[in-house]
Amino acid sequence: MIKEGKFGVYEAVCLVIIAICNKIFSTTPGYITRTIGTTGWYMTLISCTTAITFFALIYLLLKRFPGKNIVEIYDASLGRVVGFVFSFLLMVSFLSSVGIYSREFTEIMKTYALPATPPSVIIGALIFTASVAVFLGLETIARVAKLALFPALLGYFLILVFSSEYFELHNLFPILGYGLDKTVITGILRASAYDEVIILAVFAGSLQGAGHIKKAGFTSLLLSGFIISLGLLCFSLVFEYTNIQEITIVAYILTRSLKYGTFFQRLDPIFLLLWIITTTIYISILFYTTVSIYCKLFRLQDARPVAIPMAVLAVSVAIIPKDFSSVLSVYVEGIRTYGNITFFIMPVIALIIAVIRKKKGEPECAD
Amino acid sequence: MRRLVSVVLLLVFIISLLTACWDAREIDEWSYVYIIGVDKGVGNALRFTFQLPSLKHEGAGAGGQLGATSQYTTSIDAPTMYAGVNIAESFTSRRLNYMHTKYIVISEDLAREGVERFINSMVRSRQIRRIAHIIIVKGKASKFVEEFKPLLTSAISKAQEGFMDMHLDTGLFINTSYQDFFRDLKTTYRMPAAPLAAFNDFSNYRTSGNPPEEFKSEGDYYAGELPRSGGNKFEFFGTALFNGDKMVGELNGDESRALLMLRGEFNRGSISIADPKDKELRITIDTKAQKKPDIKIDFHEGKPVVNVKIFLEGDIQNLQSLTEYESLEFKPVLEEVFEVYIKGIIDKTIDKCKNLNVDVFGFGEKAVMHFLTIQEWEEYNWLSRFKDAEVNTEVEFAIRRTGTLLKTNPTRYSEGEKK
Repeated sequence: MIKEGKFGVYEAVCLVIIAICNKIFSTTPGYITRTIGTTGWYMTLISCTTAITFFALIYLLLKRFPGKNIVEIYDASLGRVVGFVFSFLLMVSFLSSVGIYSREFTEIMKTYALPATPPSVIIGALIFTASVAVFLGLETIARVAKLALFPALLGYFLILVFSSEYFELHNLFPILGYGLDKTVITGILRASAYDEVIILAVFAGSLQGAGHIKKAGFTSLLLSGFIISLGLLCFSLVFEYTNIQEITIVAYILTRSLKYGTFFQRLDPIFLLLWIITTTIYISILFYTTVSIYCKLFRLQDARPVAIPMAVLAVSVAIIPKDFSSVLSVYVEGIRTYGNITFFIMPVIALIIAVIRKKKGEPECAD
Repeated sequence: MRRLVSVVLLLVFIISLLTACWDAREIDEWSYVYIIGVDKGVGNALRFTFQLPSLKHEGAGAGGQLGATSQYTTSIDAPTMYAGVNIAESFTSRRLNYMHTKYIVISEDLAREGVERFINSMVRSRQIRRIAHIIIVKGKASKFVEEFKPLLTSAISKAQEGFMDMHLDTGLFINTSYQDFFRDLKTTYRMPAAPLAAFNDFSNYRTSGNPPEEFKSEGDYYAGELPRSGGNKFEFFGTALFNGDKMVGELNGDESRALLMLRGEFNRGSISIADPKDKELRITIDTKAQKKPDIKIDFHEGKPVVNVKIFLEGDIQNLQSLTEYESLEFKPVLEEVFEVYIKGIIDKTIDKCKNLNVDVFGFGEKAVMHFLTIQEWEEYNWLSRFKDAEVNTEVEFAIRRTGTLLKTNPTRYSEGEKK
């Protein structure tokens, strides 16, 4: 089995927060406003609560099989064949996420910042960086995430604080948006926005036992819920729902709209810097997870030979969508809608079957 | 061997970086558009006028001011702005860049026909910044762009900001950014409004005759009608009112102040009134907003009832009369007269907008709080109901200071004190 090194709760929390919260910079706020109206800021709390519930069940599964990662648990709980299928689907989900999110990022960069750059250059640069990250290992990614999270959060909160000048309370009304039922249903379905927490289950072996996984999982989900909700609340306070529905990247337009006198304006380069750094880490995390699951699935000792072929696959996935519209309405939405199945529901099925079949792991021995 | 190959690969990679971005463009390859004017087209759907800096040093090296630039304008008939930009690039040596454009000037004719077709599409470009100002100009936008040569400075960009910032000191026109205008085109809470500009041919500046007997305030003019001579040929004065994307009316300077007060955007302005005790004399108050207006909305049998309270305060700037309005005895008299005067303007402005059925005040922002879902709110359709709204206004005004004089003593004549 590949050796991924060890890291602490702190690094794990940073890793998961970057993976989850990067979506606030994407097309997500516009999309959810089209569906539910003014309620995005509390809908995401419903999503977060749903994700916490699912993670609690995943934690029970991990606790049942101490020291094992999700791939090994699938094998132990469901048998080699079904376990293989479950793990393979999980890997495919991560690979799709790498490709589609890289493409989404590329399209947005072409729209806002690099209109003349060929998409292949941006996708290639992202996947190349992610491949280098595979060579450097999970520990490196975790430590870079730890290093980058605080400047990223500082920049993010500064943008939100500066935007407070433009807050209009009435933008939050009608308070129930397109209806409470729609908000709750969308909130539950979009728990997939928090599904990156599953990486803790993939790298369970790198954390110091189930207790650490529990701590890292719940902490990162709660903090991510707060960060995303606060961002959506600020966006809603600045832009009316009819406006947000139209905007491709709300956070970017917000930073471009900030103006304090003639000197302090046009802050979009700060946003771009933050967004590029966090997205690079985000794609690296997803790509490493894909490679890691593949290695665990086929019991490969070294992840490095897998990196290049997997990078080719990721680039291939990224260039499948014909245009930006299909990236958003077909692929990103597909991941959001069906992500819950592979990231949350399949581990719960594994838990139920493990309980029914009375499958359990060996308790870890204290050294 | 492996190390050697790694070093060679690394060197190749680093050398490739030395070329910099292959698609990068240097600053001297761009021409930055200061102002975009939009008129009804003749040769094509729309006429776009761009004002650009020439960046040629006028007289440099011959005792001229180094770095001084001049502007040139070009007008193009085109189906869309971007097509117009392409046409313009066929006779310029630089690419047009409108990332630093601060004014988007629309002719009144075009505004009355509708602005949606280009306002919607312009913003799709990353180069259009939503902090640019929207200005409606009486007459041709192309002429405005051509003649926009501020007298006090050669720094066009700074002058553009300066002109717009003046609304904070006068309140005689409003300031509307692209974002505000674009938002108000789509919102269900209010209608768009934009500052008006016009050329002044100085024909209202009479060189002889008597002043009007009736009190005429400094804001009782429309753009282009100010009685003045000299200075910039253009002036910003008043407000254009929109129903959707079509301009349907305009406000004069006084009404623009009322609009700003009702929106909670009034900063300050020197407001003159006739002396209550001697109608021939004038009093000017440096008026400031004390706090945001208090707006409450109720619904009586589906009909909206709006109660607005405006809070103002001010300092006496000009007092021609000998009445001691500084004193505790007469100060309330002046305050009350001022309140009545402001309330009169506000009521007149509201009636004007009700007749046009355009809620440019944003009362819908408060009304929406009475609705639970967007479906209910959109079905009620506030924007169509505004004309039926009962709007009750109240003004609270307090004189805070009396300037550098605490009392006005009478002027003495050889005959004695003038009564």
